[in-house]
Amino acid sequence: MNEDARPADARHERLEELWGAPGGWASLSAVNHTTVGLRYLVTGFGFFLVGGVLAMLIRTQLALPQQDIVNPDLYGQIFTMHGTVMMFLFAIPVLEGAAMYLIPKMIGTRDLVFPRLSAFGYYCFLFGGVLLLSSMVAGSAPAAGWFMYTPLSNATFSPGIGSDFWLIAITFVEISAICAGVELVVSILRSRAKGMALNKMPIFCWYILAMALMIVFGFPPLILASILLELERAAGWVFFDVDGGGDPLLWQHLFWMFGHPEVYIIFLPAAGIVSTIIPVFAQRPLVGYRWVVLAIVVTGFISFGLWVHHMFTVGIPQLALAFFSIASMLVAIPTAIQIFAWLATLWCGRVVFHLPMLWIVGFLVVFICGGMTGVMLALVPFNWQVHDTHFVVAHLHYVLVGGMLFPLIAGFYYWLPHVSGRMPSDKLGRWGFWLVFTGFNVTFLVMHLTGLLGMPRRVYTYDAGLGWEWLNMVSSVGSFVIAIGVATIIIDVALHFRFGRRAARNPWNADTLEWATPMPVSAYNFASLPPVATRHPMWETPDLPQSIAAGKHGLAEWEHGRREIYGSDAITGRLREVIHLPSNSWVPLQVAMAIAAVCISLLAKAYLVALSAVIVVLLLVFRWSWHNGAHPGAAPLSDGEPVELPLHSRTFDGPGLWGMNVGLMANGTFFAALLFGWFYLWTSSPEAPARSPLPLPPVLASGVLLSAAVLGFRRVVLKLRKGRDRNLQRNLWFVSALGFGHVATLVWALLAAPLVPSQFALDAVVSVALLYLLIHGGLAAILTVLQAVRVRFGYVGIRVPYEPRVLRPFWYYLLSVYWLTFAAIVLLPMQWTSS
Amino acid sequence: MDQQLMRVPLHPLHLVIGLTAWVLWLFAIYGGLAIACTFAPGLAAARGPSWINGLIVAMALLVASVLLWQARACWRATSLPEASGVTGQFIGSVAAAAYLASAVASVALGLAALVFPPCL
Repeated sequence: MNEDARPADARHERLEELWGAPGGWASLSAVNHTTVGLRYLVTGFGFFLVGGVLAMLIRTQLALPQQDIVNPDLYGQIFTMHGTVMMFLFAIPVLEGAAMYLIPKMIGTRDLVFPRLSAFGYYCFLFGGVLLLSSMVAGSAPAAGWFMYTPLSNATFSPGIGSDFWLIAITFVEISAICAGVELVVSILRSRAKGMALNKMPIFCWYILAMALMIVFGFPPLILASILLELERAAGWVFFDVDGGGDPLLWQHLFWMFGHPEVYIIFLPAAGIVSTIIPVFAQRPLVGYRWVVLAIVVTGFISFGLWVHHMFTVGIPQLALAFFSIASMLVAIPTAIQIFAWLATLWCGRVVFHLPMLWIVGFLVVFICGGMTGVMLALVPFNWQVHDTHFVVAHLHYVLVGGMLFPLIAGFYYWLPHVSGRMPSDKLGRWGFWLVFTGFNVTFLVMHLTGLLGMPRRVYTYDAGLGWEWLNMVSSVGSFVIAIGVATIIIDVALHFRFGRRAARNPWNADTLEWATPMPVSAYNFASLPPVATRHPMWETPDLPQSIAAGKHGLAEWEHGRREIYGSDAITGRLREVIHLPSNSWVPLQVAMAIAAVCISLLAKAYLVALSAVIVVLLLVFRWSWHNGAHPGAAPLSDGEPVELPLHSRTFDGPGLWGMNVGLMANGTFFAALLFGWFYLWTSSPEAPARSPLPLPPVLASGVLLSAAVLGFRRVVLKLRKGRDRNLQRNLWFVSALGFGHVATLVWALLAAPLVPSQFALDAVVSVALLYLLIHGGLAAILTVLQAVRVRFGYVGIRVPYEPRVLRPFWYYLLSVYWLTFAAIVLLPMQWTSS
Repeated sequence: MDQQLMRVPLHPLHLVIGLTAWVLWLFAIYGGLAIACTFAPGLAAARGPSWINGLIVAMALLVASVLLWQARACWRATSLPEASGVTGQFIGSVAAAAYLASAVASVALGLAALVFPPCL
């Protein structure tokens, strides 16, 4: 322990008590980012080991021709689960966990802005993962590939509940990803240290900001696709079945709209680790900070324009293929900018080859090779030749293992002393690296050749005499070398907690703020919150840990008993308010358990139980929202409030508003994907509907009521802003009544419409759109009722006007999507009919 | 500071506007092409570049021109008094480069229309 960086005992104890996790079973109620981030990491690595064992089974089966260690059906389950576990339960959650752990420390604050959301996200990830793995124990794991292509995954070709497990559990896990995305975006933008302008942010924060925004926009299409496919499997609604005007390619589009950005969602944070570590071990600032920021932003966007390159063989016109081929090559440019920035930094610095740097060098070698084969695959004729062969398997492993696992382990070794206060063994660590690096290249380098010789993916065995025998044997031997390397790393880490030498403060002489926190890690990060005027605070102010620990900076007092952090301007880092955060809570766990009950009920086709569980979820969520603002459990109104900066719940702006807006971006992407599905099915089956299936009067009446409600709510917020709360409660009741009227007329429209979703794909899409509007309309009305009740309790009013302001964008959003839906599914079909 | 930045092209939104335009441009030409190939008479059978190819190239040049103009505006804004803070210069220069990259990428997509038939 570093006595000089640890606050005086009394202060440390009080801060730990205020911010820390309780002991025993009560620790399940912990919400602070350090605890939650570490839980993500440990759980994710647990799933990684499961995925690794599945990989060993695959390689054992393929080591020799004509083996029958596993049968074809089980082999299908194994490779499906290997891909699913590694992508959804390891790669993304682990990087989210690393970001959750590191970001508040790097931006000089004490926690993320929505701690309960962090904890909720973790439990969704944990329960979703366990639910998915339980399908293996039950012997009915999904077997249609990690991409779940239809029609293979539909009820005809995948009977049983394997695919249902995938669709429901993965959607559950994706809730976790969206939570993390919203959380990280708002935290990075609104809770940085005083003076930490955008251009002063550690480069890692730019990477995580991009990753989080990509999650927000990238995951909703897959959530939609999973819901549609599950509706098709369970309720017989038609979306992907050509007999009813559906199209299996719609699944592929929606899946890869998520799937390709996901590759960069995985790569960008890993590249962030590289951009953080290289300057530290080169002992100089990153060369080309602005160029790297530009590259991050450009990569994030271009990655959304590549999804069709996974579909080059499905029969798309050449011109359209060319668009995506060009875009696929363009994305190599920002990646190359980053690589040159890293090389230039190494070139200009004096590199110290500690263990993390070894993994970084391994990353550079492996990832650049993977990038090269990526450019090869962007070329359409070559892509056609090697499509669905082991060449693609080799490429994706070079990109994902090289681009994610190597930097992740580098970061793991780099920040391990921060967590444990001890150093890992250099000797064991180097053994681990060389075993993994050698084993990886032995496994996958030759696999390119296996693919070029024509061996297809996903075959459970192959005949002798095709020239693939020795290549497969080499790959299998290499995979076991990787396994020995991973075991060596695990032993190293396990032993270091007991035998590792004590780490010095800031053992790598790093430049970023996380090394100014106590070591081993504390729950509160900083005893006082320092101003930051440079990108390299620990290099330019080496005594920062001491002054922080001595309470010489902001928010050093704890007597009020609130968890407080600064809220700052998104651009300049100027302080704007004090954000009060919720304390430990059981509600996130309870909500996640209730959602798990919904999922299990759906799997068991116990729909009444599922409906009951949904009601429980809603009640718990409303209880969650109740404990906010001026509630006695949060920050009740008092005379002793901060003078210099207001508490955020006393303002019209704060993290909740930003969270609402970012959440609505994800929601809007979901809606846009639904509209895409509508138009896609229209163009793929243009002869299908020549009518508007909805009756005009109730739809128009519903829209008018909704518009009136939104105008009414807007007026309420404007009056609050002017400092007037006369008839506030009555007005909120009136708005909610209009909202319920809107919902009731929409139900009328739904019941009056001659929709046959089990026969016609477009009817099925219309039904989903109406259900979407109903859910949102109902939610808006109920949330407004809650606001009216909170006025009665004194939690909303002139002194605490925040919550109606947070709710207002939701009403605006609902109004927008309602009239957009009206235009797409009512006006457009009317136009068809008339033409 | 942030209010000042809103008035000149130094707001962080400019870091993403150009690239958003590029993504929308890609969606528009891909989706528009699908609709045109489905409904425009004679287009589906065209064996060489046709009127829609010309339209795509023209639109690509238009989109790129707007993006280049924005890149210039951002770059020039870095010398304004409002950009005297390092943040303004940082955002202005990175946004200018992002607009430039978007313009190049937009033209790159459009160039494909010079070569391939629209619907085959």
